[in-house]
Amino acid sequence: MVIVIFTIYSFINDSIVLKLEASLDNNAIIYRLLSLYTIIEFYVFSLLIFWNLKIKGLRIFIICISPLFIIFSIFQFLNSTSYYIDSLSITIENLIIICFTIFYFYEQLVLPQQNFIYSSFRFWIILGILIYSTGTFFFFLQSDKLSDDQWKDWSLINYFCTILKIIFFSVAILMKKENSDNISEENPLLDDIFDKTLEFDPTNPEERT
Amino acid sequence: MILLQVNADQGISQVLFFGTIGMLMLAIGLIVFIIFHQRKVIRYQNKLQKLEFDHQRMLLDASIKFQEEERQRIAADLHDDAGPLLATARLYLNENLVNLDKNTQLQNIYNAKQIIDDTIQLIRNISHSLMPPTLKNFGLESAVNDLFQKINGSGTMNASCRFHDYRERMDNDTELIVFRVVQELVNNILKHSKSSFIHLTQNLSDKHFYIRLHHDGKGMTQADFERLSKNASGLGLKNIQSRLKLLKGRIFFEKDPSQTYYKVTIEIPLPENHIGA
Repeated sequence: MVIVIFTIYSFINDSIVLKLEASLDNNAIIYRLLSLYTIIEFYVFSLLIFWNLKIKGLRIFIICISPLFIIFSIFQFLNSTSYYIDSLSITIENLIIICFTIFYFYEQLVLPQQNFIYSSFRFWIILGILIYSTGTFFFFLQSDKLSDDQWKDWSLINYFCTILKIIFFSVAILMKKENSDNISEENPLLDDIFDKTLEFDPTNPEERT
Repeated sequence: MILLQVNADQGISQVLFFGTIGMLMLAIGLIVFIIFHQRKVIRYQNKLQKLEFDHQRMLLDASIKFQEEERQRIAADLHDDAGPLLATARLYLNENLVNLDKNTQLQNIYNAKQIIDDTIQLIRNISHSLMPPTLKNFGLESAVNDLFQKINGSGTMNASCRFHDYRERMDNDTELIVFRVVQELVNNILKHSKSSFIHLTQNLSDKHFYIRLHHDGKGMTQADFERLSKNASGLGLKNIQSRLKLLKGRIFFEKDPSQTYYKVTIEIPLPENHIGA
């Protein structure tokens, strides 16, 4: 649900920015919209990663780091005199989010898993976040040095990574639906019942009765 | 100036292009590494699970087979011994008994009584082999003492046992399982070891109950035990394993450092109410 709402918000935001870019000379509104988007994007990605982590220490780390970044972004947002894209905030955001996704993969390595990592919808969400963050990292890092023409040309990277992100998110949504469809509502623990037969020991007089 | 500008633009473009490609490659590399590593780990886990499952199944098969053999033995005892005895008694007490003279009648009744007494004894023996009355009434210590006295009485082997600390009895089921394991071990020693003596010692620690058997014959080490209990044969050993598994107990086979004796140690965790008692 969060992913769907965020994707819709991203689409609306991008559409408004594109429209404003075409019609306005003043970049102030675009700057405000993009800065707000950075904060919301960071919050949503952090939340998605946080929900998918099991190790308490990593969760605490996210809880500690996220408010610091949000405070920094709001500070930048309120105090910036330039109305060009806030490259610093976005780069820091990408770096932090990449670290958080690495936490998830680290957890997958250290915690024993029963199923393959890609059979979980969580993997596809994190993969989408990672590919988007790594793919756009250098684009946003260099964005304040780009001319308008270069910005338009290199925006292709942003579009490409956004499309990849949406594809991976869609896979996650479809997988989640499929997984929930496959669970028998009548008896979700049927496997446990079959496993129990293996524990039967005929030498135990109590089990024989 | 224009040239410098063009060079600067090219520099940014190159950083952007190679940086983005590099970052994506790193991310994909990370994902691929994690996927392959996890597949490897899961395959290994599955393999271990399969081995454990096979082992469990083998123990279960052994238990079932043992139970079937026990049933067949009881059935054979009843059919071959009790059946003919009762049939003979019936012959003595047939319908013609009333037509016979009094002396013959008395003789036949006496013979029938003798046969019925034998049958009662036989059935008692079968019942005792299923659940030794000494074990039920007086506990593990008495039952093991009884077993060792019988072995001693046979004159084939010098058998002795000593319980150092068994003031509080364990529950009946636990005692029965421990007794059966001791019985199986003693039978194996009698059958295979050709030893001149067998000695049993019982001891207690804070959390465990121990029984150790010593003998000077041909014995087994832990490696032999593990190898034999995984074979299709070795029903008795599998039976020991499955019984001890029920009690979460362990068994250790070892050779004395002096290389003179073999030792078998059974370790059973004490129930909560026995700890610190």
